[in-house]
Amino acid sequence: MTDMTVASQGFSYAAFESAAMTRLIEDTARAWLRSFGIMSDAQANQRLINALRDALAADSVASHDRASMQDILDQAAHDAIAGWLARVTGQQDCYGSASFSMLRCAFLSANRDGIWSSRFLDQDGDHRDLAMALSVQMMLPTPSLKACEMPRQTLEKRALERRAS
Amino acid sequence: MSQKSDHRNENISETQYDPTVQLRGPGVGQRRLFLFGASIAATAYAAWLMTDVLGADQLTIMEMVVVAFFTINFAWISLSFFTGIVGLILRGLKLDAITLKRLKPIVRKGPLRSKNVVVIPVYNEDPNRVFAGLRASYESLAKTGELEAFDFFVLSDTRDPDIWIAEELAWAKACTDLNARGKIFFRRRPENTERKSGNLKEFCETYAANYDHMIVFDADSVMSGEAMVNMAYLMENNPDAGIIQSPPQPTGRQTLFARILQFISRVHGPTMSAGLSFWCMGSSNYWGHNAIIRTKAFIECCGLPVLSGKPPMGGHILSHDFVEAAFMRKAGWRCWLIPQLEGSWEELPPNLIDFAIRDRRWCQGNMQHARLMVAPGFKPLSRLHFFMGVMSFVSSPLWLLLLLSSTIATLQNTQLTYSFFPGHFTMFPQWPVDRSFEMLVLLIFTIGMLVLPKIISILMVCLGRDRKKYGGVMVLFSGLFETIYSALQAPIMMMLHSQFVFSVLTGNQVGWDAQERDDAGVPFKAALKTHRTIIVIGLVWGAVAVFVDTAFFWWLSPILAGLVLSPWLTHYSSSLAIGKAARRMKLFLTPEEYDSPDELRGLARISAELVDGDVKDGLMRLIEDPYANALHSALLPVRKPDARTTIEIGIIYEKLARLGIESLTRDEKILILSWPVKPLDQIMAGRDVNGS
Repeated sequence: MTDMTVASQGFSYAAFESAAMTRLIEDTARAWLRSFGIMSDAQANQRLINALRDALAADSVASHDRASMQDILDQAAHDAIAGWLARVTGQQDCYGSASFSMLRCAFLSANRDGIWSSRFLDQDGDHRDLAMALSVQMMLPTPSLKACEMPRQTLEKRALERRAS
Repeated sequence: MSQKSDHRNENISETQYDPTVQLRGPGVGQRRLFLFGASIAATAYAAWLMTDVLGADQLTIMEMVVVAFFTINFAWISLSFFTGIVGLILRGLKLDAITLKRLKPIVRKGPLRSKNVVVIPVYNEDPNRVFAGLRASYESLAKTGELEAFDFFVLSDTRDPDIWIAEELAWAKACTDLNARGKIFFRRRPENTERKSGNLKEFCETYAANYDHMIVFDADSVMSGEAMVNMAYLMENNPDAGIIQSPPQPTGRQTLFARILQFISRVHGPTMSAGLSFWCMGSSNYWGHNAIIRTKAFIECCGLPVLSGKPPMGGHILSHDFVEAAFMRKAGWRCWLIPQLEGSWEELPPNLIDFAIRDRRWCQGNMQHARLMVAPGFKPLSRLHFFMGVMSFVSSPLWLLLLLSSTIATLQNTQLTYSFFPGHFTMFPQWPVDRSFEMLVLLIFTIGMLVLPKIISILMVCLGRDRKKYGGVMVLFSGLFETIYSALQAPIMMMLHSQFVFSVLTGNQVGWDAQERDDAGVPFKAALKTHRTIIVIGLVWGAVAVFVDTAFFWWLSPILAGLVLSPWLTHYSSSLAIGKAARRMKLFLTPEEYDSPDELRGLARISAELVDGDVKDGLMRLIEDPYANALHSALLPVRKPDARTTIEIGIIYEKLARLGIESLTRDEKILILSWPVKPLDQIMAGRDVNGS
C-alpha cells in the first residue's frame, strides 16, 4: 500500500483501500497511460495513481456520474489529464471530447520516441517546450465553419424570375 | 449579364481580367446551325435511302417501323459524326475550339487571387487509392508555387467501419507526411442522405463559403498542379463562368479491356471534346468530376430538387452533374468544356462486368433526366444534354428493336410470293427491283459515319509527331483491334443496356456501391453466368436468321458473333496478363504509359508506399492503437447519444468484451464507432478482447 495520507481531511485514505481497489486504480492508470502512449514511466504512473486517489479521497466525482467505480476512476483520470493539458497549452477547453482527443493525438505524435513521458501530469515546471511540440502536432480536421443555406431549386419556377423578383 | 454582376469576384475589377484567357468565340449560332443542319440533312438522306431500299416493292408496316427506328438511331450517329468531324478539323488546324484562334498554352499573368478547394467525395472507396491521388495532386500543386491558393477536403460518406477508420488514418498520415495540417481536411457525414450530391450539399452549407471555387475530384481522380491552377485562373478571368470542365483522360489500368478503352479515349477523346466544345460553347455539360465550380453560384442555384414519385424515376436525383450544369445555365452562368486542359486523369473499370455495373447505375440516373427534359426553365442545350444522356442508354433498345423489326420484316418478305402481274389485263410483268447497290451505299454510309472520325483520329496520331508515344506504327494495329473489339462488344452492351432500361422502366433500383478500382479479372465461369441469357438469345436469333434467309444471317453475323462470344470476350479482355503482353507489343499504348507524367509516377510511388496501410478491422485498430483511437474520437461530431442509444451501445460493448470483435455485426460496429464514447482501450482494460 502506498502512502496516501490525506492530511487535510484528517484520515488515511490508504487505510480504507482494499487490495481490489488498488488493483483497479493501477489498472485504470495503466490503461490511461497506454492511451497516451506511455508504456513504462514510473513517474507518470505514480502521478496518475495519485491523482486518482486524490479524486476518490476528495470525493470529487459528481454523484450522478457514479455508474460504477470504473466510471468514477475514468472520469477522474480524464479530468486530471485534461486539467494538466489545459495548464500546459494554456487552452481552457481541454475537457471537451473532441479537444481532449485532439490533444491526445498531438501528445501521441509528439511522444513517439517517449521523450515527453516523464513530463506527463507533471504539475511543476515550465512546459513551454511541450506546448510548442503539441501545437506543431495538432491536427485540424476542418476549417472554420461558414454556414449558409443551399436552397433547393424547383422545377416549376424559373430561377431568373425569382432572382429578378 | 447584369444579374450575374453580384456574383463576380467583387475585389477584381473588369480591367484586371486577362484578355488572353477570355472564354468567348465567334458565331455561336452559326456553329450550332451548321452542326444540327448537317446532322438533320444526313439523317434525312439516310432515312430516304432506307425508305427507297425497303420500299422498292411497296413498304410494309413492319418496314415502316424499321425505317422509324433506323432514322432515330441514325440521327444519334449523325450528331456524333459531325461533332467528330468538327473536332478533327480543329485538331488538324490546331485551333482553339472556343475562340477559333491558334491554340496557345495558358500563360498566367501573376499569382492566383482566389481561394480554391479540391473536394473529394468518397463512399467506401479504397483509402489508399484516394489519398494516393490526393497526395500526387498535392505534390504537383506544390511545385507550381500556388499551394497557398488551395486546400484539399476529403468528404467521406463511407459506411464501412473498417474503411472509415482507414480513411481517418490515411488523412492523418497525409497531413503529417506532407506537413499539410490545416491544408488537407477531412470530415465524415453521419448520415449519407442524397448520396454524392447530398455529400457536396452538406459541404456547401458548412465550409464551402470559405472558398471562391471548388475543384471536384472523383475518388480515382488525379490532376496536375498546372491544370488546377490554370482552371482557377480561367475562373478568375471569366466571371460569368459557373463551371469549367476539363476532359479527364482514363489511365492507370492494365487489363486488356481497360487498356483498349484508355487507348481509344486518348486517341479519339480529344477529337470529340473539341467538337463538343465547338458547338456547346458556354452551354457545355458537367461530368461530375475533374471540373472547377464557382462556389457561390453553385450554392445559390444548384440545390437539387426532389422529383415527385418513387425511385427509380422519382425521388432524389442520382446523376446530379448534368442537372447541376442545367441549373447553372438556367441561372445565367456559363459552363465550359476546355479540351486543351491537360493533366486531368481518371480511372476506368477494369473489365466489362464492372463497366456494365457502373453503366447500370448511370442508366438509372440518366433515365431520371427524361423527366427534366420537359421541365420548365431549362435552356434548350441543357435539354439536349439531358436527351443525349437518356439516348446514351435508350439508343440500345432502339437499336435492338431495329434489328428485331428487321428480322420480322425479312421473315414476312420471305413468306410473300412475288406477283409479276399485280394488276389485271396487263401484258407487261412488274419486275422485282434490285436495290442491292443502294443497300451497299446505305451500309457504307452508316458504317462510315460510325467509324470514320475514329479512323481519322487514329491516322492523325499515326502521322503526327507524337506517334511514338502511341506505339509508332503499332497505333494502326491498335486501331484495327480496337475497332474489331468494339464491334464485338457493341452487341453485348446493346443487350445489357436494353436490360438496364427495361429494369429501370419497370421500377427496379440499384444500390450505390464503390467502383472496382483494381485490375480485377473475370473468371470464365462468372462471365458465362453473367452472359448466359445473351448467348441463348444470340443462338436462337442466329437459328431464326438462318431459317429466314442465309444472306440475312450473314448480315447479322457480326452482332450474333458478339452475343455468342460474349463470355470469352469478357473473360479474356479482363486479363491482366494479356493487357501487359499487349503493352510489351506496344499495342494500345498511350502517352501516359510511354512516358508517365510526374503526377502518375507519383501516384504509383505513393500507392506502393501505402500498401502497408491496408484496410484492416477498424475497431480492432482502435483497441490496439491509441493514436487511431484518439484520432477517431477527435473526428467525431460533438453530440450525445440519447438514452436508448446509450443502452444499445452498452450492450454492444458487453458483447464485444465477452464474445470478441468477430461477434459484432457491421451495423453494431458502426453504432459504437459513431458516438463520442470512452476510448476503447480503456473499456477493454483487463478484459480479453478476443474472448478466447
